[in-house]
Amino acid sequence: MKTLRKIMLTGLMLFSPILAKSSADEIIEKVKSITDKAYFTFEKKEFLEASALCQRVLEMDKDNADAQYYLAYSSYRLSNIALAKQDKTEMSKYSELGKGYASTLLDVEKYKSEAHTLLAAIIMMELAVEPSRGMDLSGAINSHIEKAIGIDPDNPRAYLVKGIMINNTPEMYGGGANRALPVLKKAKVVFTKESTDSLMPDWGQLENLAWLGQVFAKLGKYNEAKSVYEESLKINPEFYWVKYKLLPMVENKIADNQKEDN
Amino acid sequence: MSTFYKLLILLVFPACSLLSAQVHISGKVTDIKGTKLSYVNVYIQNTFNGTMSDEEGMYSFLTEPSDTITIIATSIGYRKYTYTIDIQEKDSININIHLVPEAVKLNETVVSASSYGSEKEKGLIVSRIDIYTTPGGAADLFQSLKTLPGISQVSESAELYVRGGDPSETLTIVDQAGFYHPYTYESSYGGLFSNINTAMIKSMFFSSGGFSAKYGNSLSGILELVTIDKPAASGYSIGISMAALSAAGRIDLIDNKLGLNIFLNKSYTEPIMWLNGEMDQFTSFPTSQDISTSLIYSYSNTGQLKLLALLANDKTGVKVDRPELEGRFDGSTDNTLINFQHKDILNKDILIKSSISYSKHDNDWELGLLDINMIDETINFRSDLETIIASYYKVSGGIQAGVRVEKFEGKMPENAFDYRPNGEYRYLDDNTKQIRYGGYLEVESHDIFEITNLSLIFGLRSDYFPKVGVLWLDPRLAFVYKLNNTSMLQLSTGLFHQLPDSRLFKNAVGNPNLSAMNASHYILSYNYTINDKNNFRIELYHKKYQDLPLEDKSTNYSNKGYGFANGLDIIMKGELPFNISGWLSYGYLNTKRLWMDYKSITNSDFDISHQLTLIAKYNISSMWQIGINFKVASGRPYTPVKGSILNTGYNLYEPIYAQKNSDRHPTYKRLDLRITHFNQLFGRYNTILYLEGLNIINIKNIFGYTYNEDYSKRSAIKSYFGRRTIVIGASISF
Repeated sequence: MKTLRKIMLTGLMLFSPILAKSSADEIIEKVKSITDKAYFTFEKKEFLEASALCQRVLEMDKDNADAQYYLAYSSYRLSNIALAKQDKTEMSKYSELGKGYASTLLDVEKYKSEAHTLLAAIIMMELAVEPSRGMDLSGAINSHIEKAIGIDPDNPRAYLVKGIMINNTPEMYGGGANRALPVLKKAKVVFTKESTDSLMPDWGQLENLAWLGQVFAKLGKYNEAKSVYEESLKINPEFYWVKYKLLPMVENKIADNQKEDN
Repeated sequence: MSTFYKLLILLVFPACSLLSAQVHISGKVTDIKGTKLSYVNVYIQNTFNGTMSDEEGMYSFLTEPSDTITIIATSIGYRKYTYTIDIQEKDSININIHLVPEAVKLNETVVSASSYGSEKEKGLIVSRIDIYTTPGGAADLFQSLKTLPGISQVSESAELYVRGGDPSETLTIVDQAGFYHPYTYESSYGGLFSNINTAMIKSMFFSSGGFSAKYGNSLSGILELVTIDKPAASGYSIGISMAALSAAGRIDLIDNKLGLNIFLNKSYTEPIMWLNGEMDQFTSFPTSQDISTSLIYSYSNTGQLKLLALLANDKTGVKVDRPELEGRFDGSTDNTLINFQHKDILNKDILIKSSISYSKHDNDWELGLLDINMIDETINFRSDLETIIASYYKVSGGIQAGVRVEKFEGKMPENAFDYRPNGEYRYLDDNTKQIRYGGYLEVESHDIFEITNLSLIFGLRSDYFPKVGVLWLDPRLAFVYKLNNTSMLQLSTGLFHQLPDSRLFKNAVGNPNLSAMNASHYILSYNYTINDKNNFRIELYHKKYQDLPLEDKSTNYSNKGYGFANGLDIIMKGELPFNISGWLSYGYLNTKRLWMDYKSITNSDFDISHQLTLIAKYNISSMWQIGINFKVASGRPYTPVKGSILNTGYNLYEPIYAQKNSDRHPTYKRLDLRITHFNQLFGRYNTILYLEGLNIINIKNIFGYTYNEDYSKRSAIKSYFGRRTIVIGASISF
């Protein structure tokens, strides 16, 4: 029986590369699904689970670009969460991890644009923590964004990150809501055209609507902001950030304006 | 049933039974102190089998039977756990996992006392934007540093007089290379600006005392600069002002691999002198040019090679009115620094940085019969390592070796009171050569003596100069105690040695048996981080100088000199209401010395008792900023002339000096103003227009005194910015 068991295990091992490949794809699909949900729940646990699954894939296949990407993306979101909790040490650890994995994808053709986009997004977060490094970091962010768009002019996430960056940049340095608006509008259009590959990233559409709404609100265009927020809630009615924070704020503004008009 | 199906059943059935007999693996994940760790990734090597620990640190999962398996557990902040176990014939196994904290991240260092840096971990932050927008700083790093406490306003030069020390006691390091002459327009009164282009600086660390064993042969201060990395994208800029033209390029040569930075600067001061009515002071208007360039190759994610070249020259001609001579001072300098640096991270947690550098400073001075050429050439090698040992100890160490050759050639007046072209002189042809070997070891540990938040840094530094037989061993120690998340108390002490001017070892005029000067530092510092943007720091210090060179009748020089510097530094930096940002600093200093030609212990030349600086910047709108820099400082000590005697041999009056440094110049006051306009043209071209007014209310600060022929009348010499100076400039980047 013991010999038979060894023969069977050997047989399984012979077929394991094929099995591993198909299992890796299945795991990445699962990771993608977890990260999609986790964006809305903003739960650390879920992004950690996604990271854990990616690490297991990399344990089997250290060059698996999909796993590297989602590990970088999960690290980016984990650093987002740490930042929201004002835990700068943890934020820094995850952003370093995210940058490391994203950098390894700069030479992988299908992920080049996405890797530059993630790097821009992660460095932008570092800038939020240390504005004094603006002169150094903003150059790197803009460079990654331009490279991402140059490689894939239809990458909607690159426009989203570009729009956020412009919105957060002081007007005196070429930023501001007025300049961010056309970029986020462009992202909105490109997001609707995005083809869906089951493993390639497709995050950001609702986030883009949330930022677009904020830019409209910053420019005093509250009705346009409300309309964009409602559009995002049609796609996901439980989008917490919009449903409970951004939309009520803009509705209050509209109500205040109406009171003043009356 | 056909034979085929029988075979299939024979093959598949055992496999199914094999797969169904899975092994249950479970356990608990904790850290080494037994604290449960949730969300740890636990899995079996080379499989997808695994799980995450739950809120209680518990985990469990099923795996296929095997002979042995290797369990792996990973969690950010902890070392990867691996454990191989034989699971033959087992249905379930329990493995409790203890994770060891990962090496403390290399940048989580203890902030040393008296330090300022462009990065948070290197002390109170002084960013590049602070340097660019400091009114009156001319975007010059050294001039901007002088707004911090601990650096005395001895003169308007860019030189750093740190806590009672002379500028040679502060060492400038660029990418590991010692850079001994980082100034332009360097005369015997010091250089006016730095020749290191601010745009070339990625990060800086400045310490006015109690610094790490990493730095040697420096009694008072350290300025360590790291130049910028390869550009992420190509970009260019040009600038023009009434005093300079500049151009810069940051060129991404090979994406993510090779980049070039180049900064060109040419200054010409004639327009500015014309505007400000100072045309009559110069015989040759100060001009300078410099090139700063670096070629950077990243051969891996962590490995980098950098070739840096800083080339600068300047010349100036200024009218000089002395009792015995109405003449002109002509000075010119060529300055070169070339450095090749390698850095990488070995085995994931050993940071190694090595550099080999060459520098040459060639300086000519002419005044009356003075006609001297000074050359200072160095070749240095340095290698530094940093790593973490046993999770808790950050260990750094390094070695260095170098040669420094100084040459002095030309005519020197025999008497300090006679610079007339036909005066008596001696011809100098001095060459000095020093070879140096140095090394250090430093350990940093946290939570020592089981006291949470108490950290210790202990270092030992040794340097050896074989040609003069000087060897020293300097211990350095710092305790840092975090009182809470916002405040910190630090105590730093240590011994700091420095070799005296190498000319003092010459047999004819010096003493070959001189030993090194030393200073003991004692610093108590309290730092309060009010919030992300606002910081307050107060420091008390005592610096005790010993073995300073002192003139000696029998041996020319002895090591019997001594002195001290006691003081208090306070700084409050951050953002105030109404969009005002900046800092307020105050420094109190009491320093006395007996050294060189001093006859008794007295106030040193650098004793600026009180110094107050206010930097305030106000954003009028997103495009306009106005800033002021107001400074008040006690006048510098000087030795007045109390009479004269006619020297019939030279037919010249010889001054009779009062007691050394027995008087002070008037209080130094200066208000600088800067108005900046930021804009972006055509959505691409970032422009900056500025108007800077130095000494805007025209306060008559003085540089020193000159006397009439018989020293019976004196008149003040205005300081560099002793009258209002207006500069207008613009830059555009794309």
